[in-house]
Amino acid sequence: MNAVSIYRRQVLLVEPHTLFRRTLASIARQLCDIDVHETSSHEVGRVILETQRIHCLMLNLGEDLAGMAVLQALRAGQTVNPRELPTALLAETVRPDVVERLKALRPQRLMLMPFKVRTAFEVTRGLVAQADSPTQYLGAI
Amino acid sequence: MQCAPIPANESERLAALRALLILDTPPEQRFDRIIEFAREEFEVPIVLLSLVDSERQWFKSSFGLEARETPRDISFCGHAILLPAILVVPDALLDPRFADNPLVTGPPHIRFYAGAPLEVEPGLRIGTLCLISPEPRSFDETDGAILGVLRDIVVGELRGQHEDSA
Repeated sequence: MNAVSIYRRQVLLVEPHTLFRRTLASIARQLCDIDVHETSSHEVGRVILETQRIHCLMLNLGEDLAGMAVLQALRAGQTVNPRELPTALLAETVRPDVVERLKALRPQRLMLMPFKVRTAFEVTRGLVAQADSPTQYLGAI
Repeated sequence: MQCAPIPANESERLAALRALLILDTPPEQRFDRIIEFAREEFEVPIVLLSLVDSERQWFKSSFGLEARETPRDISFCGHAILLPAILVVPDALLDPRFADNPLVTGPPHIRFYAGAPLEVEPGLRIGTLCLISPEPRSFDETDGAILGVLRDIVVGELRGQHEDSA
Protein backbone atom coordinates (compact mmCIF):
# COMPACT_ATOMS: atom_id res chain seq x y z
CA MET A 1 0.00 0.00 0.00
CA ASN A 2 1.43 3.37 -0.89
CA ALA A 3 1.37 6.28 1.50
CA VAL A 4 -1.44 8.23 -0.12
CA SER A 5 -3.90 5.40 -0.83
CA ILE A 6 -5.45 5.46 2.65
CA TYR A 7 -6.87 8.90 1.93
CA ARG A 8 -9.80 9.83 -0.29
CA ARG A 9 -8.55 11.02 -3.63
CA GLN A 10 -8.51 14.79 -4.01
CA VAL A 11 -9.35 16.33 -7.37
CA LEU A 12 -9.04 20.03 -8.15
CA LEU A 13 -11.51 21.24 -10.78
CA VAL A 14 -10.95 24.74 -12.14
CA GLU A 15 -13.86 25.48 -14.45
CA PRO A 16 -15.70 28.78 -14.98
CA HIS A 17 -18.98 27.33 -16.29
CA THR A 18 -21.12 26.77 -13.20
CA LEU A 19 -23.54 24.19 -14.56
CA PHE A 20 -20.80 22.09 -16.09
CA ARG A 21 -18.53 22.37 -13.04
CA ARG A 22 -21.22 21.55 -10.54
CA THR A 23 -22.51 18.59 -12.53
CA LEU A 24 -19.06 17.10 -13.08
CA ALA A 25 -18.04 17.62 -9.46
CA SER A 26 -21.25 16.07 -8.14
CA ILE A 27 -21.16 12.92 -10.25
CA ALA A 28 -17.45 12.43 -9.53
CA ARG A 29 -18.20 12.57 -5.80
CA GLN A 30 -21.14 10.19 -6.18
CA LEU A 31 -19.59 7.61 -8.46
CA CYS A 32 -15.88 7.69 -7.61
CA ASP A 33 -15.87 8.33 -3.86
CA ILE A 34 -13.45 11.21 -4.25
CA ASP A 35 -13.25 14.75 -2.90
CA VAL A 36 -13.58 17.44 -5.53
CA HIS A 37 -12.34 20.94 -4.81
CA GLU A 38 -14.12 23.16 -7.32
CA THR A 39 -13.51 26.76 -8.24
CA SER A 40 -14.23 29.05 -11.17
CA SER A 41 -11.09 31.09 -10.52
CA HIS A 42 -7.55 30.43 -11.73
CA GLU A 43 -6.23 32.49 -8.82
CA VAL A 44 -8.07 30.37 -6.30
CA GLY A 45 -7.00 27.21 -8.13
CA ARG A 46 -3.38 28.26 -7.88
CA VAL A 47 -3.72 28.98 -4.15
CA ILE A 48 -5.19 25.52 -3.63
CA LEU A 49 -2.26 23.96 -5.50
CA GLU A 50 0.15 25.97 -3.37
CA THR A 51 -1.42 24.94 -0.07
CA GLN A 52 -3.14 21.55 -0.42
CA ARG A 53 -2.07 18.14 -1.64
CA ILE A 54 -4.28 16.90 -4.44
CA HIS A 55 -4.09 13.84 -6.69
CA CYS A 56 -5.14 15.24 -10.06
CA LEU A 57 -6.13 18.43 -11.78
CA MET A 58 -8.89 19.29 -14.27
CA LEU A 59 -8.06 22.77 -15.54
CA ASN A 60 -10.02 24.97 -17.93
CA LEU A 61 -7.50 27.20 -19.67
CA GLY A 62 -9.96 30.09 -19.97
CA GLU A 63 -10.54 32.41 -22.91
CA ASP A 64 -7.29 34.29 -22.25
CA LEU A 65 -5.35 31.08 -21.53
CA ALA A 66 -4.81 32.27 -17.96
CA GLY A 67 -4.89 28.66 -16.87
CA MET A 68 -1.59 28.07 -18.59
CA ALA A 69 0.19 30.04 -15.87
CA VAL A 70 -1.33 27.74 -13.27
CA LEU A 71 0.03 24.69 -15.04
CA GLN A 72 3.40 26.35 -15.56
CA ALA A 73 3.64 27.00 -11.82
CA LEU A 74 2.77 23.39 -11.10
CA ARG A 75 5.31 21.99 -13.53
CA ALA A 76 7.95 24.40 -12.24
CA GLY A 77 7.57 23.00 -8.74
CA GLN A 78 6.08 26.18 -7.31
CA THR A 79 3.32 24.36 -5.44
CA VAL A 80 3.18 21.72 -2.72
CA ASN A 81 2.16 19.13 -5.32
CA PRO A 82 4.27 16.86 -7.53
CA ARG A 83 5.48 18.52 -10.71
CA GLU A 84 4.01 15.67 -12.75
CA LEU A 85 0.58 15.78 -11.15
CA PRO A 86 -1.87 14.10 -13.59
CA THR A 87 -3.62 16.96 -15.39
CA ALA A 88 -6.29 17.36 -18.05
CA LEU A 89 -6.81 20.66 -19.83
CA LEU A 90 -10.17 21.94 -21.03
CA ALA A 91 -10.47 24.68 -23.63
CA GLU A 92 -12.86 26.33 -26.06
CA THR A 93 -10.37 26.49 -28.89
CA VAL A 94 -6.59 26.40 -29.06
CA ARG A 95 -4.39 27.68 -31.90
CA PRO A 96 -1.80 25.22 -33.26
CA ASP A 97 1.12 27.25 -31.88
CA VAL A 98 -0.49 27.21 -28.44
CA VAL A 99 -0.94 23.46 -28.67
CA GLU A 100 2.82 23.13 -29.01
CA ARG A 101 3.34 25.27 -25.90
CA LEU A 102 0.81 23.18 -24.04
CA LYS A 103 2.51 19.93 -25.02
CA ALA A 104 5.66 21.21 -23.36
CA LEU A 105 3.69 21.35 -20.12
CA ARG A 106 2.93 17.62 -20.36
CA PRO A 107 -0.85 17.44 -19.83
CA GLN A 108 -2.35 13.94 -19.91
CA ARG A 109 -5.32 15.18 -21.96
CA LEU A 110 -6.39 18.26 -23.89
CA MET A 111 -10.17 18.41 -24.27
CA LEU A 112 -11.63 20.89 -26.75
CA MET A 113 -15.24 21.97 -26.37
CA PRO A 114 -17.91 20.96 -26.94
CA PHE A 115 -17.68 17.76 -24.96
CA LYS A 116 -20.04 16.06 -22.58
CA VAL A 117 -19.94 15.91 -18.81
CA ARG A 118 -19.81 12.13 -19.24
CA THR A 119 -16.58 12.46 -21.23
CA ALA A 120 -15.01 14.79 -18.69
CA PHE A 121 -16.04 12.42 -15.94
CA GLU A 122 -14.36 9.48 -17.67
CA VAL A 123 -11.20 11.56 -18.06
CA THR A 124 -11.36 12.49 -14.37
CA ARG A 125 -11.71 8.84 -13.46
CA GLY A 126 -8.72 8.04 -15.64
CA LEU A 127 -6.61 10.69 -13.93
CA VAL A 128 -7.56 9.35 -10.52
CA ALA A 129 -6.57 5.85 -11.65
CA GLN A 130 -3.25 7.23 -12.84
CA ALA A 131 -2.74 8.92 -9.48
CA ASP A 132 -3.38 5.54 -7.87
CA SER A 133 -0.53 3.98 -9.83
CA PRO A 134 2.63 4.09 -7.67
CA THR A 135 4.90 3.75 -10.66
CA GLN A 136 3.35 6.65 -12.48
CA TYR A 137 2.49 8.87 -9.56
CA LEU A 138 4.75 8.41 -6.57
CA GLY A 139 7.73 8.08 -8.83
CA ALA A 140 7.02 11.55 -10.15
CA ILE A 141 7.02 13.33 -6.79
CA MET B 1 -52.81 1.74 -20.84
CA GLN B 2 -52.40 2.43 -17.16
CA CYS B 3 -53.52 5.97 -16.32
CA ALA B 4 -51.15 7.96 -14.13
CA PRO B 5 -52.18 7.09 -10.55
CA ILE B 6 -52.99 9.81 -8.04
CA PRO B 7 -50.53 9.93 -5.10
CA ALA B 8 -51.90 9.48 -1.60
CA ASN B 9 -50.66 12.93 -0.62
CA GLU B 10 -52.22 14.64 -3.67
CA SER B 11 -53.74 17.61 -1.82
CA GLU B 12 -50.46 18.43 -0.04
CA ARG B 13 -48.58 17.90 -3.30
CA LEU B 14 -50.81 20.31 -5.21
CA ALA B 15 -50.59 22.84 -2.38
CA ALA B 16 -46.79 22.71 -2.57
CA LEU B 17 -46.90 23.14 -6.35
CA ARG B 18 -49.27 26.09 -6.25
CA ALA B 19 -47.36 27.76 -3.41
CA LEU B 20 -44.48 28.19 -5.85
CA LEU B 21 -46.66 30.52 -7.98
CA ILE B 22 -44.97 29.17 -11.09
CA LEU B 23 -47.81 27.59 -13.07
CA ASP B 24 -48.55 29.40 -16.36
CA THR B 25 -45.68 31.83 -15.92
CA PRO B 26 -43.43 32.75 -18.87
CA PRO B 27 -40.23 30.87 -19.71
CA GLU B 28 -37.19 31.79 -17.63
CA GLN B 29 -33.55 31.55 -18.61
CA ARG B 30 -32.55 29.94 -15.31
CA PHE B 31 -34.60 26.87 -16.26
CA ASP B 32 -34.10 27.04 -20.03
CA ARG B 33 -30.31 26.84 -19.69
CA ILE B 34 -30.64 23.61 -17.68
CA ILE B 35 -32.96 22.14 -20.32
CA GLU B 36 -30.51 23.09 -23.07
CA PHE B 37 -27.60 21.63 -21.10
CA ALA B 38 -29.50 18.34 -20.67
CA ARG B 39 -30.39 18.23 -24.37
CA GLU B 40 -26.75 18.58 -25.37
CA GLU B 41 -25.52 16.14 -22.75
CA PHE B 42 -27.98 13.36 -23.52
CA GLU B 43 -28.58 14.11 -27.21
CA VAL B 44 -32.32 13.54 -26.98
CA PRO B 45 -34.82 15.47 -29.11
CA ILE B 46 -37.16 16.36 -26.24
CA VAL B 47 -36.36 17.65 -22.75
CA LEU B 48 -39.05 18.93 -20.42
CA LEU B 49 -39.39 20.61 -17.07
CA SER B 50 -42.86 19.27 -16.37
CA LEU B 51 -45.09 20.30 -13.49
CA VAL B 52 -47.93 17.89 -12.71
CA ASP B 53 -51.09 19.87 -11.97
CA SER B 54 -54.45 18.34 -10.99
CA GLU B 55 -55.61 17.58 -14.54
CA ARG B 56 -52.60 18.37 -16.73
CA GLN B 57 -48.86 18.41 -16.92
CA TRP B 58 -47.63 21.89 -17.79
CA PHE B 59 -44.16 22.63 -19.11
CA LYS B 60 -42.28 25.46 -17.46
CA SER B 61 -39.44 24.88 -19.89
CA SER B 62 -39.21 22.61 -22.89
CA PHE B 63 -37.16 21.72 -25.90
CA GLY B 64 -38.47 19.79 -28.87
CA LEU B 65 -42.17 19.90 -28.06
CA GLU B 66 -44.59 22.59 -29.22
CA ALA B 67 -47.35 21.73 -26.74
CA ARG B 68 -47.29 23.69 -23.49
CA GLU B 69 -49.30 21.04 -21.65
CA THR B 70 -50.81 17.59 -22.03
CA PRO B 71 -53.47 15.72 -20.05
CA ARG B 72 -52.21 14.27 -16.78
CA ASP B 73 -53.86 10.87 -17.18
CA ILE B 74 -51.73 9.99 -20.22
CA SER B 75 -48.54 11.59 -18.90
CA PHE B 76 -45.40 9.62 -18.15
CA CYS B 77 -44.48 12.24 -15.56
CA GLY B 78 -47.65 11.43 -13.64
CA HIS B 79 -46.10 8.00 -13.07
CA ALA B 80 -42.64 9.38 -12.34
CA ILE B 81 -43.81 11.48 -9.37
CA LEU B 82 -45.02 8.40 -7.51
CA LEU B 83 -41.51 7.38 -6.40
CA PRO B 84 -38.38 9.33 -5.46
CA ALA B 85 -36.13 7.41 -7.88
CA ILE B 86 -35.70 8.31 -11.54
CA LEU B 87 -38.30 6.52 -13.69
CA VAL B 88 -36.61 4.95 -16.71
CA VAL B 89 -38.61 3.44 -19.56
CA PRO B 90 -36.04 2.10 -22.04
CA ASP B 91 -38.70 1.13 -24.59
CA ALA B 92 -42.31 2.16 -24.03
CA LEU B 93 -43.58 -0.37 -26.56
CA LEU B 94 -42.31 -3.14 -24.27
CA ASP B 95 -43.83 -1.65 -21.11
CA PRO B 96 -47.49 -2.59 -20.50
CA ARG B 97 -48.05 0.68 -18.64
CA PHE B 98 -47.29 2.70 -21.74
CA ALA B 99 -47.40 0.49 -24.85
CA ASP B 100 -50.83 1.76 -25.98
CA ASN B 101 -50.46 5.26 -24.53
CA PRO B 102 -51.51 7.86 -27.15
CA LEU B 103 -48.16 9.63 -26.65
CA VAL B 104 -46.52 6.37 -27.72
CA THR B 105 -48.87 5.32 -30.51
CA GLY B 106 -49.12 8.91 -31.80
CA PRO B 107 -47.01 12.06 -31.71
CA PRO B 108 -44.44 12.51 -30.24
CA HIS B 109 -44.14 8.70 -30.50
CA ILE B 110 -42.33 8.26 -27.19
CA ARG B 111 -40.15 5.17 -26.96
CA PHE B 112 -37.58 6.22 -24.36
CA TYR B 113 -38.40 8.19 -21.22
CA ALA B 114 -36.32 9.09 -18.15
CA GLY B 115 -37.90 11.37 -15.57
CA ALA B 116 -36.25 12.64 -12.38
CA PRO B 117 -38.92 13.70 -9.87
CA LEU B 118 -38.77 17.21 -8.42
CA GLU B 119 -39.18 16.81 -4.66
CA VAL B 120 -39.56 20.29 -3.21
CA GLU B 121 -40.46 19.04 0.28
CA PRO B 122 -40.06 15.55 1.74
CA GLY B 123 -42.47 13.28 -0.13
CA LEU B 124 -43.95 16.08 -2.23
CA ARG B 125 -42.96 15.58 -5.85
CA ILE B 126 -44.46 18.26 -8.07
CA GLY B 127 -43.10 17.28 -11.48
CA THR B 128 -40.05 16.06 -13.29
CA LEU B 129 -37.03 16.95 -15.33
CA CYS B 130 -37.41 14.43 -18.11
CA LEU B 131 -35.74 13.17 -21.28
CA ILE B 132 -37.75 11.78 -24.19
CA SER B 133 -36.75 10.11 -27.41
CA PRO B 134 -38.66 8.42 -30.24
CA GLU B 135 -35.94 5.77 -30.21
CA PRO B 136 -35.41 3.19 -27.45
CA ARG B 137 -32.17 3.61 -25.57
CA SER B 138 -30.30 2.51 -22.49
CA PHE B 139 -29.69 4.64 -19.42
CA ASP B 140 -26.75 3.77 -17.19
CA GLU B 141 -25.50 4.79 -13.76
CA THR B 142 -23.61 7.80 -15.09
CA ASP B 143 -26.67 8.99 -17.02
CA GLY B 144 -28.71 8.70 -13.84
CA ALA B 145 -26.14 10.62 -11.81
CA ILE B 146 -26.00 13.45 -14.35
CA LEU B 147 -29.78 13.73 -14.65
CA GLY B 148 -30.05 13.61 -10.86
CA VAL B 149 -27.64 16.51 -10.44
CA LEU B 150 -29.48 18.60 -13.03
CA ARG B 151 -32.74 17.78 -11.26
CA ASP B 152 -31.23 18.92 -7.95
CA ILE B 153 -30.26 22.22 -9.56
CA VAL B 154 -33.83 22.68 -10.84
CA VAL B 155 -35.20 21.97 -7.36
CA GLY B 156 -32.77 24.50 -5.91
CA GLU B 157 -34.03 27.09 -8.36
CA LEU B 158 -37.64 26.29 -7.52
CA ARG B 159 -36.82 26.80 -3.86
CA GLY B 160 -35.20 30.12 -4.65
CA GLN B 161 -31.63 28.96 -4.17
CA HIS B 162 -30.24 30.54 -7.31
CA GLU B 163 -27.04 29.48 -9.02
CA ASP B 164 -25.05 32.08 -10.90
CA SER B 165 -25.80 32.00 -14.60
CA ALA B 166 -22.35 31.11 -15.94
